[in-house]
Amino acid sequence: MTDIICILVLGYLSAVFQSGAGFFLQVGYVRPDAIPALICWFSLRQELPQGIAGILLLSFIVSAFSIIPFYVFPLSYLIGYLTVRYIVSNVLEITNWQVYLLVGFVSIEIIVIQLAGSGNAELVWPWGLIQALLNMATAPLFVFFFDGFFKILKKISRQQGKISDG
Amino acid sequence: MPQKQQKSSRKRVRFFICFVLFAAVIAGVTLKLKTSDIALPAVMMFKDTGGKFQQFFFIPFSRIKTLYKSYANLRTAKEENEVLRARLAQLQNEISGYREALIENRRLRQLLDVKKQQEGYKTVLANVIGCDISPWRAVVVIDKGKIDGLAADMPVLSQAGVIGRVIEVGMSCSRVMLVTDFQSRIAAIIQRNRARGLLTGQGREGCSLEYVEKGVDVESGDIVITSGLDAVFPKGLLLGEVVSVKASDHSNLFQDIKVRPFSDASRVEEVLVLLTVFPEEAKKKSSPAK
Repeated sequence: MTDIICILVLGYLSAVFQSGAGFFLQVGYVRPDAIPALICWFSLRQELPQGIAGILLLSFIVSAFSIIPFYVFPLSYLIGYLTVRYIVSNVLEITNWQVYLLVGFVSIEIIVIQLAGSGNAELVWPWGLIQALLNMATAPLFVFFFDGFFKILKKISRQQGKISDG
Repeated sequence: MPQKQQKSSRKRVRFFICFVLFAAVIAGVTLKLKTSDIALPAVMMFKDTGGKFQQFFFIPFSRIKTLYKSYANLRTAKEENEVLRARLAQLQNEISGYREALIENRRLRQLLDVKKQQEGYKTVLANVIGCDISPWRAVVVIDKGKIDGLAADMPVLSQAGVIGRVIEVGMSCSRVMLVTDFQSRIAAIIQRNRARGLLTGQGREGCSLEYVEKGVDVESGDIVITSGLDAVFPKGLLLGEVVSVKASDHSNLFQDIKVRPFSDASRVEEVLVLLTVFPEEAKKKSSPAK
């Protein structure tokens, strides 16, 4: 449950930040995007089927900040989630650099679906790829931030548990 | 014994008288003969020798005093410096605020001119507060919504001309699709020769004027304005300027015309929404005629 609350809060914060400061950080059609890293981070932690609920709720939140067709967000995020779950189910252990690589891979999936779904498929090359590379490069920072936020949230939930037990 | 005592008392008296006389002479010399030529060299000699000794003591002490003073000054200067720095920062902030107000004033004056030009319509001034989460969509969020009388498909202007149209309306904020968005289409005419076309958003590359036939005379620098045929934008609003014209290949019937929009959406902060459908009129229209 903490994971789902975490992804929703972080997703909302990321969406607010990106829509508020996006103009100033944008170069061409590219700007820092925390959502693919968040999906990857969440997918590695949360198993099926609960993970689907978290991803769908996240996509509803994010779609409120965009005018591209509503169905595009759940579709792209869900495919990203399932891809990570499939990979995780076939490996014993995943290292940090592999997680960052995975962010790039999931990013390109999400971007392709979103660009095609919103009628701008011609932007996949080169902007979509540049965006995916940027997401991969910024992934360590975002993952570090998500881990920190998750620890704080976990601490709070434990303390609340203790209080309620007491 | 009494003789010895008398002698010693006499000696004391003599010594006292000598001392008094000597003191009187010195006093006389210093008071009455001060300015006389005879006394002056002696006085000067005393002064000179005294001056040397004074100097001997005065210089090191004055140095110490200066050192202490400079240290004390340094301490006060440090505090003063901090106070002045704080004051400078405060003044710089104030200047920045005034400059910002001046620039804002200029922008608002220009918008007021635009408002005056649109006499037939009510207008609402709005601030740009955000953008779309997808970087390839040229969509901005403004801080006015239904409660301010906004509705979908209302034209949005900047100081320079048309910037876009309202596409989604919330209670207190709305989304505006800019003219450069890939899905933006505006019915336009070239001001010089009244040739009709469709201004289409091209993202970062600005806009293109489509469906202008090959035979039509179009030049770089031609002004493109709204034609009013789309029933969204009133006729005659400034859209942009033709920057390049290419006669496309034989298979294409139309010219390839690039247009640079007058309003730069990435820099705009305040916009003017034309209330083309007035709430009162809409109510009147919707209510049955008596």
